[in-house]
Amino acid sequence: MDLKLERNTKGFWHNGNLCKLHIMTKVEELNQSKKPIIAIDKSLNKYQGKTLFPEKLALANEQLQGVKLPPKMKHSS
Amino acid sequence: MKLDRYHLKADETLSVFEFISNGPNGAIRKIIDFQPTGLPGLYNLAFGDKHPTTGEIDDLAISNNLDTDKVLATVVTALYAFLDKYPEALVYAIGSTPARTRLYRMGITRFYKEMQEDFYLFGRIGKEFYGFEIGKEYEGFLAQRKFM
Repeated sequence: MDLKLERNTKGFWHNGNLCKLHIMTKVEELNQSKKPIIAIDKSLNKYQGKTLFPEKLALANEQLQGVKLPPKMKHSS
Repeated sequence: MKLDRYHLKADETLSVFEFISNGPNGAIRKIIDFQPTGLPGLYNLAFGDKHPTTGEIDDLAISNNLDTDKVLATVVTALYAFLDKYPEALVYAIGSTPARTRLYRMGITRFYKEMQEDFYLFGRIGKEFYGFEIGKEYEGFLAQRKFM
């Protein structure tokens, strides 16, 4: 699903003046947010605990053996 | 991120993600898996295609669906989601081939400005991790979520 940015412009009359409202669509809000848009799909639960890419995990474990990890950054909250 | 990306589906633990890449080669189902490694708290980001009939996962497939940026933006989105859920986790990423690792580096470089606001990023050279720098070659990458 492609999420396209859209701006809806609506207005109303108040004391003879046209007042315009810029209403953000939900999609726009979501797109502008850094919070990702994720739908939970229980059918994917079947992969829990399974190693989907065993060769890749083996390679990562091999590379990480004896590696010096950077100091863990402190979270400020 | 304000970048174009695919809609993501995830399992209830936010460890396995799925999306569909659409392009000239059709709709290709992709899987992203955050795998626990042998080091506690460190997860490996694995990513590949799901075969439409066998359901097998292939991390060597080349889709050529002309949507590399959108795919990479979607993977970064999954990284945000995973690290929001598991803020103490570290995520390691390597390509299945040196070319793929270069692609990951290009991806990080492409989204570096936005990513560095939210992640500590490191590149591995040999047995050491260094702060990620654009233009440097690395053998693997590590991300940790920043929280303001």
